[in-house]
Amino acid sequence: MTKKENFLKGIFSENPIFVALLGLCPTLAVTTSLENAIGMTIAVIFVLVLSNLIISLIMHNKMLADLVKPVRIPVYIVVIATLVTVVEMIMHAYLIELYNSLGIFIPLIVVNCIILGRAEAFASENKPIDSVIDGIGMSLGFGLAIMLISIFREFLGAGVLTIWKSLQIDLRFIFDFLMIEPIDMFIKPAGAFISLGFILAIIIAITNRSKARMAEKEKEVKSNG
Amino acid sequence: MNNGLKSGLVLLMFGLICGLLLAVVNGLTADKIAAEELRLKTQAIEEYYSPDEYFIDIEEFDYGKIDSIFIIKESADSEEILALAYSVSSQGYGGLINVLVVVKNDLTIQDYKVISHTESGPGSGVTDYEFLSKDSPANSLDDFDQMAGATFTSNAMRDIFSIIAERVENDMGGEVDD
Amino acid sequence: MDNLIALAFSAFILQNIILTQFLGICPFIGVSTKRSSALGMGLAVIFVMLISSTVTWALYTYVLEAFDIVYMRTIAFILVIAALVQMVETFLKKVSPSLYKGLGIYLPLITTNCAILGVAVLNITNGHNFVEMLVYTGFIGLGFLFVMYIFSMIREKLDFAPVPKAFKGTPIALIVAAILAIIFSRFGGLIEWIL
Repeated sequence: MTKKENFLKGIFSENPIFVALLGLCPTLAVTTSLENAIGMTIAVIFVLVLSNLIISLIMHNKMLADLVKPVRIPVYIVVIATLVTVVEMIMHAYLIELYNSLGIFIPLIVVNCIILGRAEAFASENKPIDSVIDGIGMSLGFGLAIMLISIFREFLGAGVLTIWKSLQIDLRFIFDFLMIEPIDMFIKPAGAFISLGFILAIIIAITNRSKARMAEKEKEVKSNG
Repeated sequence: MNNGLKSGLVLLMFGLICGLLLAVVNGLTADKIAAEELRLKTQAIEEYYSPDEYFIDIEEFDYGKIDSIFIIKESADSEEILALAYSVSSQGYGGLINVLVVVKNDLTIQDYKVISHTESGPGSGVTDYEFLSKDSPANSLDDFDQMAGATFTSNAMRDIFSIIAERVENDMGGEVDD
Repeated sequence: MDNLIALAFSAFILQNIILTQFLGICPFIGVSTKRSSALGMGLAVIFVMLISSTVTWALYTYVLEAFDIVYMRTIAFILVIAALVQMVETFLKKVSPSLYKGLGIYLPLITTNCAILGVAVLNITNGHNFVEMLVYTGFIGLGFLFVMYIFSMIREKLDFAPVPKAFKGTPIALIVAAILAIIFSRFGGLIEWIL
């Protein structure tokens, strides 16, 4: 696998949310605004890249690896929990509004299956540099997915897109033009489930179609040959 | 060496290293966090008393329903309290309701504001409903108006105002403490 | 007392852990395809949640806060939960093999179930005292079981429903969950009206 493939698999073929369906709790909870999704993405990039790097460094040192092997899962958890607490403290100090709106979902990054899953499945068996690339790809895949969902929800639910603090794109004129109000159900919990359900279905439909097309092409090639 | 013991020691070492690291980061960020928390708190009261014009002292509470009490004075060395602002939370129907109540020194309610709530259904009007009219006395609940159809929400609001009613006279005398 | 009743209702229905707080979505989608497994998972979660919340609450109040090291909260909580799940598993295996048979397979999944850590942290951030903590945790757990069970009954029927191909499986389950969330948010008003 080349480095580019390693990077891109996290975003497309092995996307943690749309393909593997991991980490759905934060996906549903923090996508009420684009700003929250961006904040969550930054936190996850920090934690996943560093945890992949540290765990891969530990497991590549022969002596350390032998010591750690029997208790590796608790060690992973301690490393991840430390990184999460560091992010939590930094966010609390410098981005307090974001910290408050993400609330409990910052400490809950610890139990996000994506992070522990990558540590066990990838970082513990691969070189540090590859693990970092995998971490960036996976966290970006997660980030782009929650940003997509949050754009969908915030646009339909509030008619605006909050990028960062007061930086907002006001799209309410579209609703004015259609002479309807923004549908605030999409900001509410029910909207989270509906949005994810529809986006998943669309992605499944697209992949099914492209698969069918590929199969057809192969058939054509065969019959021509 | 016993394998279980060895594993335990390894885990303990990792825990210690991580704990030390966190202690360092905590030392670096603790002051900034406290300052930011204070800034957010004073922001709520800025609408009534800006920190540029008045001296605002904050008494914080770790336990109980009162989160903090703001003591507003003309300047740092003046004895007389101009107003008190209470940030109080109580359990409503959908979750905690947090209210900021500003009381003038003649013991009348200057204004109150629902800062955060998660009420739904009949209680969702909690931000607009007038439970107690402005200028009514803060130390009695006689004028308290129940919100129709939202018993738990009203009870929470009544709870909040009764906590204040109980202690406001004492506090205004300059004895604000837990 | 009034306060406790309100807390119990909000934990059970309005602040339902799955449908409004989005905790424990993984087992909600993953383990709810059969009624029996939903019941098993729900009971295992209530059991572990009550034990772990009690222990973490005591740990926070009497150790972390007393020694002024609250920044160790996340590490301490997750290690306590992992250790507790391990202990419950061995204990059940020895004491009651029949119960272990029913709940055992769900226990390893619980360590990374965000509902357990989530409720432990929520009890701290909401500033609950001991009694409030017990009531809140118990009713949050019951709410989890209740929604899991209802959802699994719907999903058993859903297997036979004519659903567009792209919606089969998780997408349609999520849309059903959305309808449940709407019902639950209105259901609350009904109970308040009766009371």
